[in-house]
Amino acid sequence: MSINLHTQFQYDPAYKLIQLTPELLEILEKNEAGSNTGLQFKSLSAEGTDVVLCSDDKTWLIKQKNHSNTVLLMKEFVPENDIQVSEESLFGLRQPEDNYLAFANTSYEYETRAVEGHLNLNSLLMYDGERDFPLGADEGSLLHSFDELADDSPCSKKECLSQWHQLGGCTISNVLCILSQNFLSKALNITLVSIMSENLPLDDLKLDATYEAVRKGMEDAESSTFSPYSKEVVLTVLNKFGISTKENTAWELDMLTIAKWYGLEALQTYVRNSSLSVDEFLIKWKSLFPAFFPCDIDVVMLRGHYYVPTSGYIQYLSKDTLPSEVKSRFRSLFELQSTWVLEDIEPFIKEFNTKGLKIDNFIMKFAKRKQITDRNRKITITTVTSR
Amino acid sequence: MPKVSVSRSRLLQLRDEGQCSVVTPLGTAMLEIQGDLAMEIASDGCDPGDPRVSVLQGQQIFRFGLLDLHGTSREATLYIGQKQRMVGKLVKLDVPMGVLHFDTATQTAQLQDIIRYRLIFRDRPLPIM
Repeated sequence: MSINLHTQFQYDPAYKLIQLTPELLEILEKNEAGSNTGLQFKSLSAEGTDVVLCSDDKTWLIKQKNHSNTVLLMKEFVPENDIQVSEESLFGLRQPEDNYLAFANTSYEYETRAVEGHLNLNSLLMYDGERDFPLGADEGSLLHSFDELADDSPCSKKECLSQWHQLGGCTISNVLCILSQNFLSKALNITLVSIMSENLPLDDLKLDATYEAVRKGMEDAESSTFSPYSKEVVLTVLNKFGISTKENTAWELDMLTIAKWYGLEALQTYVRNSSLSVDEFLIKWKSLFPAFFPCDIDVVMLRGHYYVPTSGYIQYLSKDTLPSEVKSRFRSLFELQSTWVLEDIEPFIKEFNTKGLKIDNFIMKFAKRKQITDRNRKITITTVTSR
Repeated sequence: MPKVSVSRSRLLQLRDEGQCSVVTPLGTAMLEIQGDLAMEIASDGCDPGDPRVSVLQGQQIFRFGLLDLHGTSREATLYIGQKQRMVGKLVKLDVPMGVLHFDTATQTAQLQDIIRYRLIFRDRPLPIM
């Protein structure tokens, strides 16, 4: 079968090729009515910044992959007049039956890589329980609804919402803000105390009942008319420290998240500059919880936030203070602690494992591995030492 | 934040499983040649008397070559002008490609088609004897 190939004299530059990963294909070929795919290209500004493609729940980073080949996009067409090719141009073939027209010549394609979307925090204020909020803020730069924030973030809406809850996002005086760590700690403490004093079920908390318990507790505690613990703050606490059930009408307290929050506070308060024995630290940690709050704690919950300077002792270690280059990161970690249990070191270095190697194989590029078998307890611990 | 929504209204016309040959069910084909394709035509058009020039929807178009598909073998020969031919084949793309058409006026991108196969000509051109 022979085909005539034609070309336009000028190509349309508006045509672009984009790689369709299986997830993108699934979205595009979904058998749903309507032409809207829910996909949206987003960029933080008109020039220079990364472009992402967002679905309802996923984000892909778009990179332009240039090439030097000629890639013609062609379409079948029916000629308006009969096209006869001279015998000398047929090279022994039959007269062409079809005609294709090149309408675009692409010198690049868009590569799509699934990434974690990020909330744009630039326009968000920090709330620390002030009465006059947002005092002196530039009205033009404030955000008033979550949809505005989602539209303004290189991130899918579902990821935005998840990060919003994780960060302690809240609406105060109709302005979107993030609760400060200090204020969030106080709000959590007051909420937990109020829940327990009112005997509310920890696995089925309703917003109205929880807020009412907090309001009542605050009335009992002080006569002042202003309480920063509004219904929105209580909702933020439930979203951050609870697991939403019954389509966001009830929450079950997430004990692990609560334990980690208090544990991190204990690390920063008691072992920031000097170490403490694990037993003593656990007592200090437990003391931060409201009295009789039923929550199990174990130091391994705080992996990625501490190191062991000497056996049986722990000290706070913030990842932000470590070098951002992988070899220097390993060097710093081994200067602090000469031998690491694999699970303890993993949170500090896993961000460098961009090729997705098995974590112990990745670590072996920079450190030596040693298997220690405890014959009495029949367990094997993998430790990592400096290479 | 600048945004562009992606629509697929054209794709909804599809009723079957998609492309399995040179052209997609919507009539799009991808032809790739390693290197430049020199067609020796001016961007503003050609002599209307040139037998290779024809008119489609009021626009001049230029016939630059001939493609010969070898039955079911997936091999193809591309004749460019009078002197060159290239041997290539139809290959399945590792990752399917979407053809997007961006409309800056409406800030939308229309997904025109999904391409799963391309005709690729990797080798150097051969002379026509």
